[in-house]
Amino acid sequence: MMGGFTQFVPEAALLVPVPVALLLGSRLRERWIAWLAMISCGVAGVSAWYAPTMLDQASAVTTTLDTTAGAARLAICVLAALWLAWVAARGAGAERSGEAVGLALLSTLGGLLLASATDLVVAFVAMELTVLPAYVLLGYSRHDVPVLKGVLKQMTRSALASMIALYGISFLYGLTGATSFEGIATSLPEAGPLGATGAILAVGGLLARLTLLYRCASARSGVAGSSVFTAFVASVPAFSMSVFLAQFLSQALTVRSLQTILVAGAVFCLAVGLYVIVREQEPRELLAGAGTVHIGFLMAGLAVLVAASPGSSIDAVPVQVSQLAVVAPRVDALVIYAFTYSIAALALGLLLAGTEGEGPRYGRRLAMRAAAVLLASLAGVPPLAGFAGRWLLLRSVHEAGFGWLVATGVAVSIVSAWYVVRAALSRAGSAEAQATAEEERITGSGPGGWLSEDRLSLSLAVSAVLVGGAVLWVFWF
Amino acid sequence: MSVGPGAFLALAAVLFAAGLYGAVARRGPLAVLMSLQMMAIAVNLNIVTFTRFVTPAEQAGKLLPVFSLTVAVLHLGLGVALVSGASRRARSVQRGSAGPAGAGER
Repeated sequence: MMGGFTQFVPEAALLVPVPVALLLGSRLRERWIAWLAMISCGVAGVSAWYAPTMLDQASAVTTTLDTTAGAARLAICVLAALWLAWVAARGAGAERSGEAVGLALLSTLGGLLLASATDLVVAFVAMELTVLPAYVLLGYSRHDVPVLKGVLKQMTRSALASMIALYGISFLYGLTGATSFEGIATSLPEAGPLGATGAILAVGGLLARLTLLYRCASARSGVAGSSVFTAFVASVPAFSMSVFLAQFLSQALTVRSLQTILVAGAVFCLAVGLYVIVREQEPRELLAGAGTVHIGFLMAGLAVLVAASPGSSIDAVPVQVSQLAVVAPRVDALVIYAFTYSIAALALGLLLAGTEGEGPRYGRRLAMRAAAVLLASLAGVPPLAGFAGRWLLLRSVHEAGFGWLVATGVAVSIVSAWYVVRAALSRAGSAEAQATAEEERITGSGPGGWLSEDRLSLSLAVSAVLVGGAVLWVFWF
Repeated sequence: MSVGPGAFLALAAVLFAAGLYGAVARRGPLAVLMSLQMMAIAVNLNIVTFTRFVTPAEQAGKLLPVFSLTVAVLHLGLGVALVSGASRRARSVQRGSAGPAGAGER
């Protein structure tokens, strides 16, 4: 009996500071609340990592704590703790930031549940728990009418995607009589074309929702006026949804036509993302383009998780235990790729937040170089974190027999890396950057404190290199 | 005369399609939110039909509509809050005031 409760220790640890943040957020200093939340994230991360060893798996009906889920939960806590460390050191730059910390904790809690869900009811509730506070956070940041309208537009689109996914889930439930991944995998082959259509609607809605989270990083979404919060939205909830999609597709869905649709979607997203990167020069737009390319790579990784042999039939096929064993390493590769992208996107979003609303301070030399390193990581330049994750993902796609998709991915990576590096170098040589450097030389090196912009930039860039090196070392050697 | 599950599923499909059209085609935020509610009702009708006719013993079929409706209402509440926030702010800008103390200054 205790095993069932032990599983939820990380969630309980995250819940502890939430009442403090929500009820006393306007009275206490936001940084104290952020420190408290960061400590609870640390406790949650450690307990998430050790929970599988304490858990009686038989008591876990709607969630799983296998190694992949445990590592993903730890990664979610790490991402949230990094964001909270920023808020603790530099503030969120918004009114009632203490309450914003509470909302971020709720979103993280939903992400933890989502990453380990093996039942569609739990997954649906967890997904809403992680996404809805994220949109509230985006609306929290400003009182500008355009920003509020932008958040409303993104939120209604997200709700539309949620309804489409839920409509598909209703067919999956009705035709298989189950909401657990195992039950769906067992009964889906007998559900016929309607069951396969339900699966396609469900995955399509979930992917649309995930895409909208990355879309918030774009200036054209109308909500990009608050990078601190967009950085959070594009990391914690988006990573949690990526992990859930990987688990859902690998364990429950065996629909042949889904694989074809995902591959086509991957090629489309890679093309659109590359188009954005080639056309744009601004870091935030480059981040949005990199997000679209990332969705393309994610779809390629998800396509090879569908445990089905190639074919043209829309019907689902019976799942084989041997197929599950084959796709398990591919799930790991996809989760690692999603994490390496999320951590670089979070770091770049926070770096942009540090220069937000203060004119051309992107030209600050070290911050600019760190942003260039992070953008290069997002574009997949070796030996950075982004390259390591992308290499693992493309290796699993190649093993699944999609050589042409790997070639497309490599080509997109090379071209996008070239354009990203070129954009970064052109900014470095601009008159604006040189003027800012001259201003720095005269006035000093920017804001002080233990987390000064210089130290922060340097540590973010170095971590991008170190994470990439660590992943490559573990998986190559 | 008894009505089979097909009729309910067809009704749900019509409702869902109408809601989808409204959510995509309408530009007013409140009309979009109402269309989303129509889609949520269609989804619930689907689930209740399946639970009644196909899997009457399944507990998840009784839980899922409750969660689904709750989430739909949450979407509606958040949407209305954002609409009212935006319109209130727009009115205060039109009056030439800066709104509540400190609001929008950051």
